[in-house]
Amino acid sequence: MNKIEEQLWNYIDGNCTATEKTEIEAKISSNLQYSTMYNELMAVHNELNLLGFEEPSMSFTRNVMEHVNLELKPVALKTKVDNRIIYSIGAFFGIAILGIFIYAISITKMDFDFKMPTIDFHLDKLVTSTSIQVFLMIDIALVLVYLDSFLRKGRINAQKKGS
Amino acid sequence: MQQKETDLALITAVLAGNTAVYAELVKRNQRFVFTLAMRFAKNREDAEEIAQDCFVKAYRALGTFKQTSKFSTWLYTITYTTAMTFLRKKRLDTRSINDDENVLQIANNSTDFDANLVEKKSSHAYLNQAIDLLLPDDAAIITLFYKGEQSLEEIGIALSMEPNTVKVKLHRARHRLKDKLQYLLKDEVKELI
Repeated sequence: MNKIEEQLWNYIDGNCTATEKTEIEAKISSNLQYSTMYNELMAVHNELNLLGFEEPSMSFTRNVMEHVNLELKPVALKTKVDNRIIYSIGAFFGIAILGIFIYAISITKMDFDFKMPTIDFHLDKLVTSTSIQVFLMIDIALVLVYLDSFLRKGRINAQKKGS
Repeated sequence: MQQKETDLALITAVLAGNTAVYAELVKRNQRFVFTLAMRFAKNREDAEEIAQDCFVKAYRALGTFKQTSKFSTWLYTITYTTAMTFLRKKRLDTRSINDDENVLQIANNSTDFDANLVEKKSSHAYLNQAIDLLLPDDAAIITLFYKGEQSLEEIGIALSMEPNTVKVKLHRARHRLKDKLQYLLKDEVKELI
């Protein structure tokens, strides 16, 4: 498939940008190759839009329902697991990890000599008015993004309840 | 939108135990599912079997329908996988048949096709014949796009493909379709397109 055809299909399907659309429209009106191919593709496109459906046999629905009636009734999949089971499994692993941790600490000899490393940096050079402004801007942007998603969620929920 | 809501209401009713309502969902979608099945099976008996099978599968799995997409999109996914499984089985069955017999059958098909060509002069008949000559995937994409009222994203969901891949495949399918039409109609192609 050549590039012209691809461009024209994108144009026909409405999958191109406004700039591309204008460019293609100009080419269709000025370029004979484009206009000929456009007419051909539009004819195929229109014919495809007019295509009818195949009809199954008259007894199709009845046959399906006969099969369906032999099946078990479908049920909405909901969690059938008791939450208490999940919590008790979680608690078991939590206690086991905690126990191992306490045991590990109890058998460890605590006679090591450890000093915190000293970091030599000048805080006053890092905390400038510009860095504070940048920090605040990022914070504000994050708050706005969060607020936007929160409001959208509220609106979607309201629409769902309304419908 | 109304259609979608009604589909969902019907599904809720079926899940609540009113299984007779499922007949309405079948009636509503059977023509398209059957058309899609025809794109794979190429004959009515097999297509009807695929379509029935897919409605029964959909019924069994109705509880897993997440209602985040259209019911039709979900149903077309089932149709596509059912049809592909059918084709795979059919291909395996075909291997066990005598090869000579196969060649004869293909030759006969071609002759019948030419005879039918004279009878079916309408552009739709030609178009349907051209679609039948396409690969099942190409025919399915064209059918989903034009008759299933599915967006590229929804077709992507149904066929487990990226929307961009669907777009490229749709372009290629239509290009092949145009070639097939030109092959079928020869000099008459200008009358149709």
